[in-house]
Amino acid sequence: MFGLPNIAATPGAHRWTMLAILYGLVLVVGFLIYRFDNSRLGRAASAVFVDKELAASLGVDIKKLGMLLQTFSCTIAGGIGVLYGFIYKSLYLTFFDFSLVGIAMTVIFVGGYATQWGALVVAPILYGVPLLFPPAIQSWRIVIYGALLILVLVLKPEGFLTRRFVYTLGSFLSGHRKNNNRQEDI
Amino acid sequence: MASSSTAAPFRGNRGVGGIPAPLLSITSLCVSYGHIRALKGVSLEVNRGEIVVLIGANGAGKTTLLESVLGINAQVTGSVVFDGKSIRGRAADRNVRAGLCLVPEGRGVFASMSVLDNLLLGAHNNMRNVTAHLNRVYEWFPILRKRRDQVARTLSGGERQMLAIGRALMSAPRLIMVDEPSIGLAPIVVNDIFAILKKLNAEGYTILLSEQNAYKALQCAHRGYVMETGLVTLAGSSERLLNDPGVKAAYLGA
Amino acid sequence: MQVFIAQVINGLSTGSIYVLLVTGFNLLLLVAMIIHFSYPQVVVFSMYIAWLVMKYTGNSVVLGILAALGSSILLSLISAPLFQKVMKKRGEVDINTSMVLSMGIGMIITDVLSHAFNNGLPIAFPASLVGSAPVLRVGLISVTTGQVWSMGIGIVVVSLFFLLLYRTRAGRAFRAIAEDPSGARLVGIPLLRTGLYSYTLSGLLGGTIAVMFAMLLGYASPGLGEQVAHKVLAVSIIAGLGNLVGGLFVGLGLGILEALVQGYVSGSWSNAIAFVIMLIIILVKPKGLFGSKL
Repeated sequence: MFGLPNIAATPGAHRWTMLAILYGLVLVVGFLIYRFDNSRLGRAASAVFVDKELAASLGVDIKKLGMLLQTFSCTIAGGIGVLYGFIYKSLYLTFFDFSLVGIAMTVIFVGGYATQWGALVVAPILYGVPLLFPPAIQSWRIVIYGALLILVLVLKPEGFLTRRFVYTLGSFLSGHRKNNNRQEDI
Repeated sequence: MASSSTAAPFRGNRGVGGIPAPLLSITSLCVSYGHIRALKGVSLEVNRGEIVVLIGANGAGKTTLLESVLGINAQVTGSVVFDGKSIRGRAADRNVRAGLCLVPEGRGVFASMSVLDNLLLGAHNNMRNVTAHLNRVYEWFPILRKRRDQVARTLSGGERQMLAIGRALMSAPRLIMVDEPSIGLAPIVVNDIFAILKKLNAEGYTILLSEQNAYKALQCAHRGYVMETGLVTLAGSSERLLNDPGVKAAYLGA
Repeated sequence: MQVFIAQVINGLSTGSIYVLLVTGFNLLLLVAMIIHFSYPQVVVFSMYIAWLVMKYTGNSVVLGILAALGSSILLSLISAPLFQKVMKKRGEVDINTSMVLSMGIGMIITDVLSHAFNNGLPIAFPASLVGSAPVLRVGLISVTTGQVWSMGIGIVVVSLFFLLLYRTRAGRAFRAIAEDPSGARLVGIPLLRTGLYSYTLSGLLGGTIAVMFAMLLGYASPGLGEQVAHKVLAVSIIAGLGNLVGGLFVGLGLGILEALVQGYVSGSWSNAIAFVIMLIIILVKPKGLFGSKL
C-alpha cells in the first residue's frame, strides 16, 4: 500500500480507529447542527428557507448567509475528502460520480430536506441495511435507491423527519410541553 | 359597431320555456384557502339578459367568487347551478365549454403572444365557426383587427381590456364574468369599457361584473350585490342601491 | 482549414442532437413545468430497446425505429403521472422536486441498463442502421451517411416542431401555459391534459433522437445518458431556461465547440473546455445568453 499511512499499528486497528473517528465526527456534526438550529444564524437560515423575501425584509443578508453556509459545507467536504483518503487509500474518480449524487439525494429526501437531522439519521440506515442483503439483491442497490426516492417524493414529499416532527421530539425530550405553540409558526 | 342584423348572438341567450329560470344561481357558497375562509355562504342569482354587478372593497371576495364559479378553486361547498346543471367542482375547461367565461382582473392577456393568438386561445375549446366568431369580435373591436399581428405586450391598457373581452367572446359564452374591468384605466377608457359592456348586454349577453367603481357599475347594471368580507350584505336593483344611504356612504363617496 | 471544416461538420451533426434534446427538455419545462434532468437517459433507454428489437428481428431497421419511438413515448407517459402527482402538491414543494424525481428515474434507467443489457458492456448497432459509410470525401473532410441523416432529420424535426408550436391549436395552448399557467387555466385550457400532450411530444422527440444517436455514434453505453444529461442542462441554462430559440443556437454552438477542441487540442479535453467556457458565460450572463423564459 502506498499513500496515506495507517493511523493505528495494524490494518484491523486502523479500521476500528477510522470507524470511531467517523462516528465521532458524525456526533460532532450532529451537535453542530443542533447548536446551529438554535442559533441566530440557524434562525436566519430557517427564515430564508420558509420565505426568502420576508427574511430579506427582516434584515437577513441572504448573500452573506449563503456564502457562510457554503464555506461551512465546503469545509465539511474537505474533511470528507481526508477521511476518504484514509479509508480507501487510493482514489477512484468514479466513486464521486453521478450515482453518488443520486444516493445523496435519496438520503436527503427520504430523511426530509427541511431539517438536517433527516440525513444524519437516514444515511447509516439507507447505506447500511442493503449491505446485509444477499449479493444478488445488493447489485441492484442503485435501482432500489431510485425507486425509494421516487416513492418518497410521490407519497411523502416532506420526508420522514419533518420540522414539525423534530420540534415535537425536541420539546418532548426537553420536557418543555409549553413550547408546543411553536409548531403553529412552522 | 356590430349591428344585430349581421349575425345572431353566438348562442341563444333567451330562456326556452315559459318560466325564466336564472342562468346562474349560487346558494350558500363557501370557499376557503387553507384555514382562511374567503367566502362564508354567498347566495346570488343572475337571470338571462341581465347585467349583475358585485360591489365591494378589496378582499371582499369578489374575485374568489368569480373564480370559484369558473371552477378554479378546490375547496368549495354550497351549490352552483348554471343553466339548470350543478357545476360545483367541475374543471374550468369543461365550464368554459359549457358557456361560462371569465375576463380576468388586470387584463390577463398573454403578453408575449400576438393579438390573433390571444383571441384564438379564447376559442380553444370550441374551434367550430372560429372564423365567424373572429370576424364578429373584429366587428366589435375594429382596433383588434388592425393590431392583429402585434404582440399583446405593445397594446395600451384599454386595448388590452378589449382584447380580454374579445377573447372571452371567442368562447361563445352564455355568461361573461368580468373581474374589475376599470382597474388601472384612465376614466375616459373606463367609460368606453362600460359602454361596450352595455352594448354587449343589449345584444343578448348576460354579464356578471365585479367592480370597485360602484357608481359607474351600478349605472350600467340592472341589479347589484354588495359584498363585505366574504358575505353579501345588501342586494337589490341598481336604483335602490344607488339611493341606499349605506352604499352611498361606503362606496359612492357621498 | 480542412480540419476546421471537417470538425465543423462533425460538430453540426452532434449539435443537431443536442438541439433536439434541449428542445424536448425545454418543452417539458415550459408546458409540463418539470425539470426532466434525465430526459437523455430516457433517450438512451430507447436506444437499448431499439437494439434489442433489432437483435431479435434480424436487424430490421423499420422495427428498430418503431421500437425506439414507442418505448420513448411509453416511458414518457409512464413517468407523467408521477410528475403530475408531485406537481399537485406544489404549494408545499418547489419545482426542484421534479428534478430530483427525474434524477431518481435516471438512476433506475442507468442501473437497469448496466445490469440487464449486454452485461453492462456498450452495445453496437448493426451496420444496416448505422451510417458510417462516407458519402463524400475530400482530403481530410469526410461526411458519413449517419451525419447527413442526423442533420437532415434534425432540421426537419425542428421545423415541424416550430410549425406545431406556432401554427396549431395545441401549440398555442403550449405557449399560453408556458407564459402564464394560471391565466391559461382561466381561459379554459386543461393544464393536465395539455401537459400530457407535451409528454407525448417529448417522448416522440426522444425516440427520434435515439435513432439519430444510433446512426451517428453506432454504439450506446449505460453511462451515455448521464454524460449527455449534464450537457443538456448546461445548454438550456446557457441559452436561458425555457428559451427554445436560444437552445437551437447554443446546442449547435456546443457541438461545434466540442468538435473543434477535439480537432485542435485533444479529445479528452473537450468536456473540460466546453464546461469552462459555459461557466464563464453563466458568470457573465446569469440569465443565459438569450434570456430565461421563466
